[in-house]
Amino acid sequence: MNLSELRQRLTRLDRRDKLDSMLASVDEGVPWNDFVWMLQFPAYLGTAILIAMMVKDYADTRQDPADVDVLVALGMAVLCVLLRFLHPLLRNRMQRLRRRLRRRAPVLPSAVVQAHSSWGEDDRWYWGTVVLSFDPVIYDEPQRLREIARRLWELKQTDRGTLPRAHADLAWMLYHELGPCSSLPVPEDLADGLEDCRMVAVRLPPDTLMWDGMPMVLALRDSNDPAACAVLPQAVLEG
Amino acid sequence: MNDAAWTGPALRDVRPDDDGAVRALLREQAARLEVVRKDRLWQWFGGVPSGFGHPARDLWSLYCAFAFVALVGLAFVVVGFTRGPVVWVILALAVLCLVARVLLRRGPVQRTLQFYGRAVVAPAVVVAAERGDPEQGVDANGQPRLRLVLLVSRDVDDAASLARLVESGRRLRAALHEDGDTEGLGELLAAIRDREHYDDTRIDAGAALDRAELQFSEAYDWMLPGDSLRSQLLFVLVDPEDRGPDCARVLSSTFCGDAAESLAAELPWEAA
Repeated sequence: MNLSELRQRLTRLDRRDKLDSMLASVDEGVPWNDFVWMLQFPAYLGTAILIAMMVKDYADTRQDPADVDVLVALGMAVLCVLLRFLHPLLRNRMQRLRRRLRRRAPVLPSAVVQAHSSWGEDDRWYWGTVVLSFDPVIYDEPQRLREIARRLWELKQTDRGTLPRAHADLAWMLYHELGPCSSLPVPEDLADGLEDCRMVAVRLPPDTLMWDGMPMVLALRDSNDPAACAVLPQAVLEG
Repeated sequence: MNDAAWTGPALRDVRPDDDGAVRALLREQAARLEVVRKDRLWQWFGGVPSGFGHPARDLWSLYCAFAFVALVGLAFVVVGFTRGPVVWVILALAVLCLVARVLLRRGPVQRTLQFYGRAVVAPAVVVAAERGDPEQGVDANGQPRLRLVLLVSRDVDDAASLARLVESGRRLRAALHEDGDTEGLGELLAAIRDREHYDDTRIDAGAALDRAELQFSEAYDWMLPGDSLRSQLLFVLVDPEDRGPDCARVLSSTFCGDAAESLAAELPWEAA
């Protein structure tokens, strides 16, 4: 699989507003930026009506329009421009995070640490936990993640009082199964030498996009928010 | 150890007479609560807001947001025709919608977050159960919610105190069906029989039942261990400072985990 081409395909899908609906849904709150974007159209209409009324009055009376009318028309025109171009400033934190994920996050292989037993047997999305790494070597040796996932899985049934702190945190996250909690770093002694290795709570699609049996994900390096990682469905290749 | 992780065994099968396992399970429930608080996973408790007002308030607040946008759009169009009072009236209505939205949401949101912030997890024993009104909501299988009378104790921290709670629940169930000792339970029995609203309210059960509390709640079958009422043991989220409506929740068995479910299986529900 050519990951560079896949990344470009995902960007094209997002520009056509198709990618967001393919990924696991996230509560982004009330879309005030979208409301502001929509308000540009009544603003255009109001501005057009205002100018048409001014032209009609001039045609009827042959008198220049009043200064206040001109100012209002200019103000409406400026408002149209502001609504058209500044609505992205009203995106909330979650909207910005998800947009960065869709447009700029690298495509990475991952390994499943644990997943619901019914995953893949019906058409539902299920919560699970995967391990991934931002180390470039992972593109040549993705199978190393499988061994890391196996070691992490073994932590789940271990008495956490006997573990070092970082290991106990991972074991607790696997044990309590309360998603979607923040991702956790995998310490060096478990990460098989891979840099920036993390365990992430994700929603697994029924038709996950796989590379040699490993789910493909989008993930942002600078955030441990669970919404900063998304497992890709097969549909991204078909859309 | 950070404040969200908890050192303890990976519990599997917990028996009610295993003091060490019961203590570990109760500590585990408190640690699970901290996981939810740390990452603000409020959907495990019903989301924000949840209760503390008319259930449609959240929907009305959303309608106010839509109305605000529609009125502002209308004002933009009307300003093309006139700058008279009509435009200002429309803009004033738009501002009112925005204010109404804030007022509709603020109270329930604040009270919900206050509840989630200071609530504790406590074990509860089912005293009585009956099907509620289907018009109040049904699950995917068409089953209405169960109306549950629960005996809750925040003082359970080991196997012995859990056993006392279970025994108190058994005694109250027997008294409710008039084949047990009803001494000192008259007021409680009347409160249960006369109960109309199951709105998570709690009342003091008195000295006769070790100062536990009676809680009146509703729950769907899928929330219970085994997806139906098979066990008398549940876990609930209660506000230690307020016994009023919406200040308690029945916790889903998924939140409580497999170990809690194994303990629940050891305490089967005894229907009359």
